[in-house]
Amino acid sequence: MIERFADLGGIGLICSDSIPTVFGLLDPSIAPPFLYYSYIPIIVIALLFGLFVLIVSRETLSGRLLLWIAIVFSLLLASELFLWIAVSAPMVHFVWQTIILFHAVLSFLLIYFTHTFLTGGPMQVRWQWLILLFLLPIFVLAPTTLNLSAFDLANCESVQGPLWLYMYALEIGALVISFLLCMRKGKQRKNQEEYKKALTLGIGIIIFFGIFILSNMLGDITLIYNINLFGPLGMVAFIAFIAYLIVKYHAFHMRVLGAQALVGALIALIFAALFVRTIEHVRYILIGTLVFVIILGILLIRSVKREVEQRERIEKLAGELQTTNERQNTLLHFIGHEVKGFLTKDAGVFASLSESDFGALSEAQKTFIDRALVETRHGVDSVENILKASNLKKGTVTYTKAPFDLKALAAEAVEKARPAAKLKGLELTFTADESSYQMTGDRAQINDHVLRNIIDNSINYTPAGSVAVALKKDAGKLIFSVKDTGIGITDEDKKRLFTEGGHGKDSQRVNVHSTGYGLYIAKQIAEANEGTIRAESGGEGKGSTFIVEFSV
Amino acid sequence: MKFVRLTKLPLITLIVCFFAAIGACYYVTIYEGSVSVVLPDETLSPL
Repeated sequence: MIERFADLGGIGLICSDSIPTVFGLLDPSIAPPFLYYSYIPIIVIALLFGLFVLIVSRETLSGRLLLWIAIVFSLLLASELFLWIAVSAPMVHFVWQTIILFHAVLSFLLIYFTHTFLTGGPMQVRWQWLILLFLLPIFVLAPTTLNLSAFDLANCESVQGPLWLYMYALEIGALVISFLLCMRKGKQRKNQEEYKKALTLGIGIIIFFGIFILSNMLGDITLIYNINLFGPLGMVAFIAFIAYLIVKYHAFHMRVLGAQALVGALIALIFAALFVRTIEHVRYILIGTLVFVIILGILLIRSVKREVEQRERIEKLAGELQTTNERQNTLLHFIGHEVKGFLTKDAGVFASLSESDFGALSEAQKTFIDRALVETRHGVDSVENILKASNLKKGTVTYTKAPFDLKALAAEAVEKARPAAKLKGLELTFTADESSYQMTGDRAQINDHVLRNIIDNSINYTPAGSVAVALKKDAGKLIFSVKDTGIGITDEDKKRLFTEGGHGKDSQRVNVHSTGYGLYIAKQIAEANEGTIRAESGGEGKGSTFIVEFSV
Repeated sequence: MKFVRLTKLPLITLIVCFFAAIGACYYVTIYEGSVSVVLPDETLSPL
């Protein structure tokens, strides 16, 4: 006998096997034993996982699509859960009608997500329209008898129509397309790691959607809807595969340790056990949980062991590196001292020759010898700088501190630099008021490595114009400054100006003898004498000012 | 702007179709109640 809902009391028509106990809509007692275990934890875990990926991946498109898959899948599971325990026949039928719509949206999202995950960009609009075209009959025919032909009140079930065959065909199509996309993109990359990444995603999709479609199809064919309870497990496998992609290949630009993912899985597993409905079924779930805990535990131990091994290896390598560095430093020191010795002797010979100690020189010979003397002295300075930097690093530099007059020392340093400035046609000035500039520090080192270094530096990097040296007193500090009209300092160069071996971008083009150690040494010596050093510049081509402040 | 609108159009269509279909299902099943029901032999119990 066939009637219509409207003739039988409409929404008030209830299924004969149930008693409405919750809000007059649901009867939770008619649920199969594993219903809540199979559905509720997976809904919670899928949504949390989707949100976690979206937030940590900083809202990438593939992260957004993964969350949408989690949301649509969760809504689908919630609808199925409702079907199991709802008592109103028209409500059951209505929700059953909408299930096919979730299937359709899920198929679309799966292909879109696969494409975006592999390519990093959105799918072409024409492909989106093509998928929609195939899905259109589902949306149009959902309210018709082609979707659900009737409602069987005796079993409280809707009778599915031929539209479901079309839906399953589409889902299989979506599954095949997604897998082929993985294979195609994986092979296009010609990179073993990218190929493995695509293959992992492909297998994850097959397991996820495969289990989901198969459980639905078998449930529909056999009319044993308990088979549907296995469908959500596909999502668990999918999450596991995505988590593996995150840990192994930093998918979604995320960095998660294997141990973190495994602990997350353990928590999820125990959390799920809370949803077993009856106490007599807990034993079965516990057996399954135990098996998974053993597997996850082994993986966790292996993961931690691997991380500990890596740390030990790094520590061993760091020790070896330190030993190598020390050996290299010793060798550098030895070579430095040897080279300095030879160069100093050479400089002595050139100086004697230049001063005609071995007889008068022709004009050409004198020019040649003077040039050789200058170059050799540059060589000595460079080697001394490298040795000094090495000593400062090792902490083997000793300071002999005593009171001295900074003004006299600065004036002396300016006078020593004057020939070099004159040679380049630069105006070198020194200004200081009549105040007392007495301070305590290592006079020789401040002169050689701070004052001279900064003045020489300004002369070297000023092709034309002036270098103004000034000394003043301010707030109990002695401020020594050198202002030039030289090449200036870019913001990029400022960062490495006082670092060991830190050349400016164009420094060696302007000054071929630049070792990159001069300002590093000046900073170390200034700081060892209770001073500070800094540089100011308006930028490239706008000159520079070096300022050294000593506390009195 | 035109490009953005074009790329989002399929997604918007999908969402509109989805909710339109749900509305139609609600109308047919709950509002109109025109779905065929295969009755069991025993007496029906109204809510």
